[in-house]
Amino acid sequence: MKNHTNDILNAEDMEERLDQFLDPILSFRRSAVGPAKQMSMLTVEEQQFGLHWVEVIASTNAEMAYQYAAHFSDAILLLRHDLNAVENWTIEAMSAFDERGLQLCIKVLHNTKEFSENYFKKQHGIMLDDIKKLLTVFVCGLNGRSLKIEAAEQTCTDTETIYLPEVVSKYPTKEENFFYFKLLTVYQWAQNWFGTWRYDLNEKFNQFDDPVRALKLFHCFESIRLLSRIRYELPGFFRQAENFLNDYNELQTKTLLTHDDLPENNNLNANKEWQSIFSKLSEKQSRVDDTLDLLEQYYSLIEAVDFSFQGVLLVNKVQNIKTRRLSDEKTLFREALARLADEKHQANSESVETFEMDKKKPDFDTVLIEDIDLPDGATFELTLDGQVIVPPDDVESLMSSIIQDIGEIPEEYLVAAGPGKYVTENEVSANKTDGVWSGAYHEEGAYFYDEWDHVRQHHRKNWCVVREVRVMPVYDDFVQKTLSNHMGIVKTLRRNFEALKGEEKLLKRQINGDDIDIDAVVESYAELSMGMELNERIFTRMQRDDRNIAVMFMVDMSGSTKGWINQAEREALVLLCESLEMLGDRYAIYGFSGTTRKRCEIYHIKHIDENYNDKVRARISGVSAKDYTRMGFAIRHLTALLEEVEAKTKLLITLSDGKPEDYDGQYRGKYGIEDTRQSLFEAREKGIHPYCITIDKEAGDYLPHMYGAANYVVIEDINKLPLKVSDIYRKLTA
Amino acid sequence: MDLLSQEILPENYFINDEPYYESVGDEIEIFESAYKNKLPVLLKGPTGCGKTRFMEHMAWRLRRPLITVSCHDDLTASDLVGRYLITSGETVWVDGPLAKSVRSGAICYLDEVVEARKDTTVVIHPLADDRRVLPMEKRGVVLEAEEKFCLAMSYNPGYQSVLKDLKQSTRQRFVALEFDYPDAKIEQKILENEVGVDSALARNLVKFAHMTRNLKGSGLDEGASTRLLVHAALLIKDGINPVAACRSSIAQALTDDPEMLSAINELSASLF
Ligand SMILES: Nc1ncnc2c1ncn2[C@@H]1O[C@H](COP(=O)(O)OP(=O)(O)OP(=O)(O)O)[C@@H](O)[C@H]1O
Ligand SMILES: [Mg+2]
Repeated sequence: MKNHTNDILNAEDMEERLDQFLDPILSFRRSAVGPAKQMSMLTVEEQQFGLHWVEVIASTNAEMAYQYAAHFSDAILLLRHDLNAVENWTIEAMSAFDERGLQLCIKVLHNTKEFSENYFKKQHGIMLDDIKKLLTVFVCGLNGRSLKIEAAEQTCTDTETIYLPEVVSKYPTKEENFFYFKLLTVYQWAQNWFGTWRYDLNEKFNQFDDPVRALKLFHCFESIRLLSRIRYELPGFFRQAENFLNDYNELQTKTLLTHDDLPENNNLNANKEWQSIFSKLSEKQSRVDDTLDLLEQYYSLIEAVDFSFQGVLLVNKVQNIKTRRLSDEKTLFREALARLADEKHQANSESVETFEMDKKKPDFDTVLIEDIDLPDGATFELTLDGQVIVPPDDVESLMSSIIQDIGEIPEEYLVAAGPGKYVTENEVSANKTDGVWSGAYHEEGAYFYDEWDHVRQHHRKNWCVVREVRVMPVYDDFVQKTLSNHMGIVKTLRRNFEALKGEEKLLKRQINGDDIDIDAVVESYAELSMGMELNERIFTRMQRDDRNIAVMFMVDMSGSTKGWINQAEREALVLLCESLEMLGDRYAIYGFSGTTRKRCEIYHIKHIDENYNDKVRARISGVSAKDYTRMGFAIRHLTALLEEVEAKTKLLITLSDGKPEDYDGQYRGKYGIEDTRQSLFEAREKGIHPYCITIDKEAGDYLPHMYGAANYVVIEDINKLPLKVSDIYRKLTA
Repeated sequence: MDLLSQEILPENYFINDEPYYESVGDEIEIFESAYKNKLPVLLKGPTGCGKTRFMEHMAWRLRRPLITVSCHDDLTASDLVGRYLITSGETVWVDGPLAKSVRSGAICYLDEVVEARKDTTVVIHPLADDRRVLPMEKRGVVLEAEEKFCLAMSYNPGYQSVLKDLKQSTRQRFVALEFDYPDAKIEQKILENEVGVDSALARNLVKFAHMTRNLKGSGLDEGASTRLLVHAALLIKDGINPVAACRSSIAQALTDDPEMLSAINELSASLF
């Protein structure tokens, strides 16, 4: 036997070595000559690596080892001499054997090519899932309406979401692929921010005899325009992006060529045309109107270039979404104006006694403010009766969204919504449902609560019939499972809450205590020698801060929570109870749901002074999705319960998954929102602090109005709900 | 040691050189009017938006000493009003900063007043209404405020803790001035004047600040304050690479979440 040292093995030596391991399955028809010959071409290191694994595998199964040796050299080539990759491939083949036998293992060894493609994709490619949050935050930081990020086959935007590929792996390094993702994102964002979708593009394209050609050319021109705007807006980004814009750069350099640079000058005219297109679209304030002008001008003169980063324009989809948004936002905006007018009216009529006289129509208008940093070079301020007013945040963002779509606030938007329409709608549906339920439901033993009718601006008396019902307890291992699934979190929570509670305070100036308060002694000595009474408060004492907090959790049990939301809510409750028990704060938990005003249900899970025992645990496990989300009554009922409790600080925390809404449709939209808002006012008047934790990503549109900007939080990732609820509670009461 | 060295000497609290303050609205006018009418002032606003600077500027403008008390949860009424001390067998009364201001007609600025214990805020009640008096319980006297005395305090309503809300009976005594981060143009000017950076850099920093402010509520509790922008500008002026400066002086100050940090760093890298 020859060397075991690190010399390269020739084919003969290699065969000898392989024979050792593969002996049991070799025969005169099957020898190691072939594999040995191939493996002799490899480097020493690769040979050693191969032999090592052949030996290891042979100790499990000699046939597999033979197959491995036979494919090894190919694998080295396909996996680009990357031994880490080869090791991964080896392991995959071995586990295929362990799990599903020789045939499948051989299949893996055969499919090295496929394995290699996937492997390298994963190695240097970037998965959207891994950077989705980062990109979402990134575009949120850029200006304009907030955009979601989702995966899709085609890169595009519908003006509310940016669609990106699931994985990008076209560049050799992770950094480059990540940047390419960013490029795709920024480009789609730019369409939204720099006004690509300002007009109905279908209408524009249909004016040409070949609308598809028009769309292509538009897309190409618009891309040139957007890149130039990005260059001004995000210079740092653009500098890097230039390395990724080959097709664009190529086109642009062509425009710089002169007559002499060209080998054959048949393209010169086209180049000249591109030159003027580039120069027009590179103006700092270029708009989509410029693109459309150029489209008309060059429609029949020039062929579109498809830039690799540009994705597709989904004209129809955008148009649908835009139409819906415009109409929604118009309604919302006009309602907001009505509110603003109301507020002003109320403020005025408080001081001056002109209540009836003053009821003239509010006069809203906008003033244009130049601002060259904005895509349209201007923004608008809202005025009421000639005075500039600063609308609340939610109205402000509504305004920006409208301006982003249209470029201004059109006149017909500036008319405050009148109440007329709502009254009739409400009346009709209210009567219908009354008919359905009357008689079918006994009202004995129920609580009655008023409901706020924002149209009438007063309460409907005893409108809601509320009952406390029981959650059917479910005795299972839900609580235990939750605790063990979230072991890490439970530990963190314990530590954090311990820190809250552990805040021992040194109380000064006590009548008795563990130590002497020097300041106090000096002071009282001084006072004594002034002839004053002896002050006996000269001790210090350590004491736990008395938190004296009572908190009521109001849990959404509406039908929409069915499934994992419900699961997350229950898990959140378990962790919460764990934390609160540690803290010693008093707490109660109730669920709410219902169908119409006649069947409002409050589900008792834990009374304020009930112990956290097995029964409570079983009720938490038994929390299930019920009907609708009428909210006002629940807030009123729980407020009433909380009013009975003696505590310095009282909190009412709602866990919710969406807007208030009820079966009869009447509670949907403004009515429900206003009633909920009113019930929260009432709660606040009683010294209760309401707070809302929601998973509704659209909550920013209505929760600030209901709870106030600082009193709610949106949890983006439902999986984080269990942790977050406790965490928020801790922050809230720190 | 001279115990009286603990004593505050208002004459040391005059501000002689004009503190640079860029007015953002009618706040100077309103403060002057409140001052003239002997009304106390409450400055509301997020951290680092110029409240302290504004007070310094107003003190200079009104030619009054500015005595600032940073409130904390151990601050007692005696810390504000004063106490007896003993020096060589004799008892001496030493005024606290509030009493000193009341007596000498200084501007007393209680910074972050919600941090103070609730019972402490109560001693300012009689000072903050039209009585304008400071009861000194220990001495059994009631100190009447000097003509030119002015009480101001600051308060950051962004705090989420319900336990740290300002009581209605306190807040309803004050003329409130609402501060927020200045407009882009003004904020840019502040950076140019305060740090001496060129306008292109100042503009980009302000743009970056707006990006982080867009993230408020979507992962950040607060966006970058003017103060943080000043910090970044100082580092950059000193030769630090802008992206690195933004990372250390702004991003890291805003969050610890690694994903948020990288997103914010991506944002600053897009600008510089
Ligand atoms: N209007 C302004 N004019 C000039 N400088 C300003 C202005 N606003 C902010 N600054 C700058 O921002 C810095 C921070 O402001 P300041 O210390 O006054 O904040 P603050 O509102 O008191 O914050 P905090 O609530 O944290 O105490 C100042 O040192 C100054 O450099
Ligand atoms: Mg300050």
